[in-house]
Amino acid sequence: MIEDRPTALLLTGEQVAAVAEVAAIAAAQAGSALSRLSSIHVRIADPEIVSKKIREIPGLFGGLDAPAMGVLVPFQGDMEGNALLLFPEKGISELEAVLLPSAEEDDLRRSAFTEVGNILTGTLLTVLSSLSEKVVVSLPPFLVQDMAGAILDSMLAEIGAFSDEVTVLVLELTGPEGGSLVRSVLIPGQAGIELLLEAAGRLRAGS
Amino acid sequence: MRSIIVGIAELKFAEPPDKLVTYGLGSCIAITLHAGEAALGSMAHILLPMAHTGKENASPGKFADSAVTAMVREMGEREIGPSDLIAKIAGGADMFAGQFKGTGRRIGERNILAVRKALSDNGIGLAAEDVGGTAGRTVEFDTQTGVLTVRTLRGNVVEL
Repeated sequence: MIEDRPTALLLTGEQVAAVAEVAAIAAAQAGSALSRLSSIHVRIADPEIVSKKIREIPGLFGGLDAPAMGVLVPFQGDMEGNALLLFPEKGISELEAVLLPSAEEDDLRRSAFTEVGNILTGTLLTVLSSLSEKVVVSLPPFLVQDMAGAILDSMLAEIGAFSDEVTVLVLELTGPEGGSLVRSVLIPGQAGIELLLEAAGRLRAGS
Repeated sequence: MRSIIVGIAELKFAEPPDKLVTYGLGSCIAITLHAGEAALGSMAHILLPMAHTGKENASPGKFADSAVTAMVREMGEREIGPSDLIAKIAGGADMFAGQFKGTGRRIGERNILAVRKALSDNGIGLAAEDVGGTAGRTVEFDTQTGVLTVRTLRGNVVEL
């Protein structure tokens, strides 16, 4: 049986505003890190904080069987969990064309894309770790290409043990011309949401 | 003929010639029950192995144990007993090859074991399964024939 545990997955309006503030700081730094990697100016717009029922999440990707690419970044330390960054297939090629124009071989593309996901998620975690004053270390990323629903399942199972709803961050990456490259969804999971709330609380207390 | 979509944590019933379909199974499992003589089929798309004991469960289709119990109860109300039912299952993959931390770790494997147990506890024979591995699955259940067709994104097709 799954043990009862307090859930932080359902956020109040005030919490959403506080988390949005922290997420915007983290996303800006992640955009800068990605720009340094690619030598191209990449910006990440202030993330949208979206709360949905679990069964509605796949709709953000065009359906459960829509092809997608996911980068799982497990983390440990004062908090242990997983962050999953999911990219719909439509948009991956645009992102690759801008960020990885020389990566032609499939293995090289996969490796490079894993690094993109790792930098994005790792930078977000580093910023949140710093703001929250919690020690959080990201572990090596794991890349999966498959149906969006299949990639999401393990995250939704973790969340579903505690709640029927989940909060996710929608990240829009824009390229040097200002046009949208891709809309990605970051699912922070239980520990990730707790980390966001801790960071938001400390940021507000210090301001 | 209609294709009726069964979403995450849902369970549905259908009569021939309709088909029950669920998309993008990873660690989740599709459980199908076929009552051939009564011309009735049911599918659940479960997310987790077991429901919280003693708690009201608004989504019986979310858990292996409560889904099978609810499917059997509904069949019973139509005077279809467990011995009249044939079960087939698909899903339970480990999409992250053991890299996942926390509650979701090896959830596919735990789901497979829980579904098999729930079917056995309810006296239902498991006729066929396509479970485990590291690939997502989409399944279509023909309530006329009881055939469960399993497809992956890489183009593999299995008929159970």
